[in-house]
Amino acid sequence: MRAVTYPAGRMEGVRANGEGSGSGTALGRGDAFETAMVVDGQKLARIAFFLCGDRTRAEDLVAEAFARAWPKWSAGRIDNLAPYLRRAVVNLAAKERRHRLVVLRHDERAVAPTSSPGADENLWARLDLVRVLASLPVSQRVAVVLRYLEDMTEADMAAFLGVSPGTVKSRLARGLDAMRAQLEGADDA
Amino acid sequence: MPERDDLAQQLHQELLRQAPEFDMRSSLPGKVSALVVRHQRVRMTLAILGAAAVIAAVAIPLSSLRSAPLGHRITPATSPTSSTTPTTSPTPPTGASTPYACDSLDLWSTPVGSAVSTAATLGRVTATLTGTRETTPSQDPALAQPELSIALAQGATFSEPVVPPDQANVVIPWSMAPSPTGAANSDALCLADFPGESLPVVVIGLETGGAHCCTVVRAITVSTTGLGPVVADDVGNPGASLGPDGSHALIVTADNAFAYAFASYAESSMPVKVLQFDHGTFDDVTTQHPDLVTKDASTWWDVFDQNTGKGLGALAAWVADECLLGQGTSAWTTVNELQAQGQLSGLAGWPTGAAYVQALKSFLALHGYCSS
Repeated sequence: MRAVTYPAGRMEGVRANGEGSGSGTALGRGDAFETAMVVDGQKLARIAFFLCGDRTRAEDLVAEAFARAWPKWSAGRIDNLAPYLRRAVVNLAAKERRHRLVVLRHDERAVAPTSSPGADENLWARLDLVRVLASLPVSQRVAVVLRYLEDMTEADMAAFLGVSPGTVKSRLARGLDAMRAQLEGADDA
Repeated sequence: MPERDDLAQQLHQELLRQAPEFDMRSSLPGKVSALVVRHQRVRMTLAILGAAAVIAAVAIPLSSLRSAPLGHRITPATSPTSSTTPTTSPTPPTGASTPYACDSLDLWSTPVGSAVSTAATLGRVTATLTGTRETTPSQDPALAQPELSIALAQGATFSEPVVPPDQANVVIPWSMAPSPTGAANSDALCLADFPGESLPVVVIGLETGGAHCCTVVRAITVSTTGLGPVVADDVGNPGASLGPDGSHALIVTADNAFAYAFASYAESSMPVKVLQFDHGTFDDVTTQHPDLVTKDASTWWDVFDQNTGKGLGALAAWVADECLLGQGTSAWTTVNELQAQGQLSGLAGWPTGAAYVQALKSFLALHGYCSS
């Protein structure tokens, strides 16, 4: 990690039952914050990437989330950093209004979609999932990413999004159906 | 076509496969550091104005942001830490009177559908903002049916709906007070004493949505006969905070024109901008507060100095500040020396070297900072 010294604030001497980057205070708040960048940065960036459709924007959004979290974290007003950051990233990314334009110039896939997967291969590999997700309404996109990328349960998603479990089920079902329709379209092509 | 459950199970693996690898370990700390500096800058600026409570609340001291090794060997022709003595010095508030008052409105922890109310009182005026917590399609915590009510000590009351900003279709409150945490969506309703107004002015902070945009500051004058027109200023990405200037309030923000001008947003730096609401308009009074500009310049020079290869956004803000301080000539001398030493490297896709110098000159002239 590059040598960046974070402001002192109340970093010092906060020792508790920290574990990983969640409530991680065993190393002190400043150390836990830097640890979270390493431990959670990649995961958060993936979420942001599939929500906003652009690698650079995703990195910016994650940085913004960490920057917004720091004052509260350093003041001891966040108990569990990882969920807070995830929420911040989702909220920031969901507000992206330029996602369609961004997606048009998207070329940052790690692996290009496969045109003709074999019988045992994953059918989703035929699609550029960033483009497919960008075609969904934001609420469905967030639901699909949290469920199928983050592997959150529907109950956790309901609490996270502040909606009923039924709403989560509905968003997931509609989102997945829309994606499936695109998959069938690709199948027919 | 497999069943939906089977497809869902496969989706997780394919999402992971198509996700790019992010090198957050090397890039994230620098970006976060730059953003923390920017977020805190307004509040640090307010501290210079003498708001002791604000100073105590700011969790990130400026000095602690200067510990990285120097990336540039040059010393600016005008040292930002020893530049011109301010010709005027804003007077700290004295006694118990503060020229503004805000009240907290925490929508994040308020359940959707709940009625919310926040009120601020200053002098003879009490302002109340009511509404119902709603969530926008983009997950923003917003206010439905927002209404502003004003009560004067003598008993007169006025009210009017709060309409969304031009750039948005919902009312999303945004903090205007130098609160300790800088929490978004709190302290959006304030009253402030501005010159030329006999009664406190209602100040409301709103957000238009978007990851980086935008904050709209609204001012509504109050008289014994009713409310004045809504005067709005879209301050853009940096947000804004009220602060004290003697017996009157200031609005401290930054120049949004610098966002994305010479670097990505995360690497952009925006020079301080001070607004005064005076006789129905927001006036730019930045040059009347050279101490704020001096401190701001010092901050941006340090950021530039610590970020070899990607500090050109901060350097642009530093030159702008130096121009406002009347030290543009020496600032350009510094820039030219940096250019001669090959130290004006920057991010791919943004002007560097001589192109940067030329672009910066044009930009600062266009935006009224200095002509050369």
